[in-house]
Amino acid sequence: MIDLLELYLVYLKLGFLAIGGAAGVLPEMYREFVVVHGWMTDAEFAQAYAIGQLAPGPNMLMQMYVSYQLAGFGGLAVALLGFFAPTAAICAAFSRWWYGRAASPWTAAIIRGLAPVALGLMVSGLWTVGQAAIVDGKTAVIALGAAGLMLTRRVNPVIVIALAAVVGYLSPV
Amino acid sequence: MTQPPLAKFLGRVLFIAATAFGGGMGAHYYHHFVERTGWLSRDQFFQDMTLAQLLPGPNMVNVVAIIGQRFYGPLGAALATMVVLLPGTTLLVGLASLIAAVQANTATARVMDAVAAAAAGLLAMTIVRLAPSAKGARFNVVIVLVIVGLLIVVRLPMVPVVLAVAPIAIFLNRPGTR
Repeated sequence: MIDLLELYLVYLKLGFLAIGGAAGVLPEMYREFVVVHGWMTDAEFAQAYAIGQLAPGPNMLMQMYVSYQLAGFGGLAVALLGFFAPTAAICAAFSRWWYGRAASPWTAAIIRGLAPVALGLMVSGLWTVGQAAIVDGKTAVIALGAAGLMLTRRVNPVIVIALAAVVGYLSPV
Repeated sequence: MTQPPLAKFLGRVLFIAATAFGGGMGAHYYHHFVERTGWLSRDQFFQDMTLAQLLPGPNMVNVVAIIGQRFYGPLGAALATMVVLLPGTTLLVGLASLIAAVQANTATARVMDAVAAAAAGLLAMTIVRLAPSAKGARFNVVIVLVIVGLLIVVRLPMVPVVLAVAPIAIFLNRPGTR
């Protein structure tokens, strides 16, 4: 049985690490969930990321899937209160204060400065998900095919994932 | 800015959250809150987006919390946050039960492995698309490489890496450097 308080503290940290693009939390999420706590395997981590991409709405809904799998509805509450709610509350409070004061040239500087940080985190996230998901020739071909499809024609990612599911189902063992 | 009734605002948040498949949610927000309803001016919307990106947390949750706060205060922010997560969470809980039910099937494992590989490919393309946003100071490429090196090669935890590198990155991109 998973310790909900421990899960909450991990989510609290991950929420504050989601800077720029939420995929940036993937390396630290992998470290916590797979390496440190052993809550899931490599393959389960990669699958959870993929399944999270199927859901409509904000990025990182994979946290809801993962927390539900780990601890049912209690897990869902922990992900909501640990990962999503604290940063949303800070945003709301900060926006109220921020709009009460004059614009600063540092705003743009901070955004410019955080862009490469966020990109570095995302590339690390890709590495994390990629090495868990691409385990043989077949998965490598599927990953390249998905990337190629997105590059050449701007299809909805949900369609690419659905196509991959069909390919996986039809492929030999 | 015209403040809509709370129920109307939440209804539209729910609609966007239920229909924005495959990313690009910012465009949905813009369409509904600026173009279709006029609830926010273009400038207000982009200010809210900027703040949402600047602060930690998933951007598309942050921005709806900021807009909820703008219209109705903390209650609006809290309700908007919950509503934006609701449709996707409902779908994922359903999927989790479905996958658990068919897990013993070997075809399920093949499908899941294929889906995971495709998602990695998609993430690669997202990064390719976002990369131009990081062209700023000359050293930005170095910053990207340093972060990847520390996290993946040296395997340091993310907190000290971000705390050490982010201030340097912001300083290198300080006002007047562009």
